Amino acid sequence: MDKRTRAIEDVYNRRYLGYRNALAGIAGGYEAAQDIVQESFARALKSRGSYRGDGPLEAWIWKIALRIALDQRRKIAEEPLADTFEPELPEPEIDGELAAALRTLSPRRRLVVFLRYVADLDYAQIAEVCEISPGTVAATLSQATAALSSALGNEHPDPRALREAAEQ
Amino acid sequence: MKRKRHETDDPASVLSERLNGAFRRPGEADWLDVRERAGESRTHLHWPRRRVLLVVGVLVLAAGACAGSVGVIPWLGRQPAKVQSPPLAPPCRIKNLWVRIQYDVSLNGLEGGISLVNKGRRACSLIGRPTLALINPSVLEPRLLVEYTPPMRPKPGSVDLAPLSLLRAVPPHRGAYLRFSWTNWCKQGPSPASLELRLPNGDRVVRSFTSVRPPARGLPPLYSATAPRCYRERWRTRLHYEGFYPDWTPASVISSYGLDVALPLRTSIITKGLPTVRKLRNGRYYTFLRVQRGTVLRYRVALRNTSKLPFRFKRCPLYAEGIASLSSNPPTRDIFVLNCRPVGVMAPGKVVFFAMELSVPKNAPLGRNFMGWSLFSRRTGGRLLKPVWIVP
Repeated sequence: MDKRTRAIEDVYNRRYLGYRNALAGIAGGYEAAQDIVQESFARALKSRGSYRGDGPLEAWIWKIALRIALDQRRKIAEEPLADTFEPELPEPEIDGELAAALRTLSPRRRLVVFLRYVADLDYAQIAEVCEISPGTVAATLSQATAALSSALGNEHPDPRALREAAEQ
Repeated sequence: MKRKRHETDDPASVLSERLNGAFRRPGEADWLDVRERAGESRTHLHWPRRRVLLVVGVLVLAAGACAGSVGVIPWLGRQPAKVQSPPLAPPCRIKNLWVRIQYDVSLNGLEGGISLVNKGRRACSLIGRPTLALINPSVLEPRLLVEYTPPMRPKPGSVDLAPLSLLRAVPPHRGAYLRFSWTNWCKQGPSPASLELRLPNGDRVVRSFTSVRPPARGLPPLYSATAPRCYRERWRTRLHYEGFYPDWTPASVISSYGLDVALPLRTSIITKGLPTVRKLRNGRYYTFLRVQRGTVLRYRVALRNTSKLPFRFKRCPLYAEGIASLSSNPPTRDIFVLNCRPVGVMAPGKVVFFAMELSVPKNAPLGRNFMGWSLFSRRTGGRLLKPVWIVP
């Protein structure tokens, strides 16, 4: 087994649930998310020769996963138009209030929130995945967190304090 | 003590904990499946585990077959009543329609739709082909490619709950929508900021995008809210749109099958025996299936009562099953009435298994696709997709 395959397998074994759970929020269900994770790592394995090593391996696989998730969602969407634009929480009954708050976020903010808090990526990795600067990640995250806190009825937090807390 | 208090009260920590609580379903990684999908052989190290799994699988299947004779509710294949076509009404005029454009930015560019709602007092028709165009096409030529896809029709013999024939008479406050996508905008300079929609009767309406600008320098950032995505300068810019779809289901259908009722059920597609609730939660009940074109795929669906109260079906709900392709072929699906009469009362947490049959079309797309199953319920998250490999 070559070194890169081992590295991909290592990411898979360590981070499987992080990928699956964050993708569930993007794909709208655990079943679909599970398949996307498997397919993403399979594609990563097939195209491991094209990974140049100029960014974190995990972020590179995340990019593949996001492409598959969004492509899949677009191509097999059968729902009415309104549903196509609605974000989904796979199990809204677990925390209906949170599900409603997440629906108020724009797709970009929601994605950054999932990548930070569910997939547990750091700012640099999120910046790599989303092809934006770490500063934009920080700003987007603080806006999203403020919006969520506000929607959840918490006090409006200080963005700087949030950033510091998130970086710890 | 102080440190702990800080962590607990910090909004980011609270949010992180809450999000992780909402996404807490356990799951098991399966590296062998990844390798198989990637077309790589299983390593020697994994062979003993594979043999063990084979033996266990055979035992589970045998147990499932034995249990299946008593614990699986049979498939009836009963279809819902066909929705009647209304008599043809006069064409909708633009002055009697409320028009709204919605769009979102995706990795592929802009995706969106146009909603039309009848704001008049009488029914009107939206039959025929609409035309969609970008205003100011001179800045796009000669790369612009405009594509139209007619609305998808169900395969002969299958039922559609919101058939296109409903558009023969769109009642007041109901409407139709069409989807569009716009990809690969690389052109510098002014961009088209408006869409023109022409109804089949020739009426015209123009709606503007807000803040759609071409990228200032090179590639726009991913998820930019202000620009469609640019892939390659040499690729063509593409505007794709579909025909009208009705945006409502007749009230008679909704009441007959309880489409507006939230069912406290979690669904799972089963191809491996009859799993326990724990296995259902861990997702270890499905194997990647190879299915043959033109054959009938037999599988099972598990419904679990997720509420804390006993549950009984008041009306047998509908479900859809079919093959969803990732190629350009439209998905095929059939709608059936669930054979819910034998279920009786489901205690909290109880699982009921239903036998299912899916006719794989003779022209089903080959290769990796998905089988889909979804219960028609007001609760979201009911659609299941499982990968299948279709062979000739």
